[in-house]
Amino acid sequence: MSGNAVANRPGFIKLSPADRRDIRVITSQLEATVLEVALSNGHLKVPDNIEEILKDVTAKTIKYHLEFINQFVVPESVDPYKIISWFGFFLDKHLNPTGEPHNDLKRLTLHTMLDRLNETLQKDIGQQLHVNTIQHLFELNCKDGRADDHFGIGMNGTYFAFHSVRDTVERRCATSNCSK
Amino acid sequence: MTDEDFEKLCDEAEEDVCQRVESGELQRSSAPIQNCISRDLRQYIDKLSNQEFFSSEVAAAAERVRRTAGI
Repeated sequence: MSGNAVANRPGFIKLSPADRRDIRVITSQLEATVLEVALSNGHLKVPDNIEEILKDVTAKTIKYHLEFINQFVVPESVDPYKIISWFGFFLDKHLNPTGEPHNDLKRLTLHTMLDRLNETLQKDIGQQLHVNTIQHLFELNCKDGRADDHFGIGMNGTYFAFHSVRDTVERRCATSNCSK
Repeated sequence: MTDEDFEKLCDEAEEDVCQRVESGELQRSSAPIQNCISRDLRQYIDKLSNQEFFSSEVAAAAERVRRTAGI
């Protein structure tokens, strides 16, 4: 079955050209930021197969998006918060599979993900999460995959933290004429 | 990753997920979710297609990440 073959399958929601474009640009921005910081720092040990890793992480993110829109019947629209959280989470798992919390690549990946999410929130509703909340989210993300990961938050929890703020502010503004 | 590589990843993911939908492995939720983003964010994402703007945004993000991650 080729990409075109799935186009008109009944009951299947495929990626629209706009979805593909959005996922491409959102993941590219994360990828470019991680590489920009990693490659300009002589102390960070970037894996030789980083290109392969990034490709795999992108593939997983696309697949999760497709599974999500088909499972929850979301017609042809990309949620940047989900894409960023999923990409960041998968990249972290690849670069730091043992979950070592003080790993430089872990800090780089998670902070890039959280920065991107917070900037997206800023562009979306004109507000950001406080630096202390971002630090708290970082700590919760560091718990994932470790012995004490019952304190972890995971990729969907991270996404939902930003989604909740967005939704709350948007609804409040819709009913009170506020300027955000 | 080239644009061609990316398109291939999308096609492969579609094939895989389509098969799982058709086989019934992926169950539909009874409560549809509506994705929603503001016009400002929509415009920002569209603007990222401009290479110059994209690069300046990446440079700014990299600077912030260096600072917050202490790298």
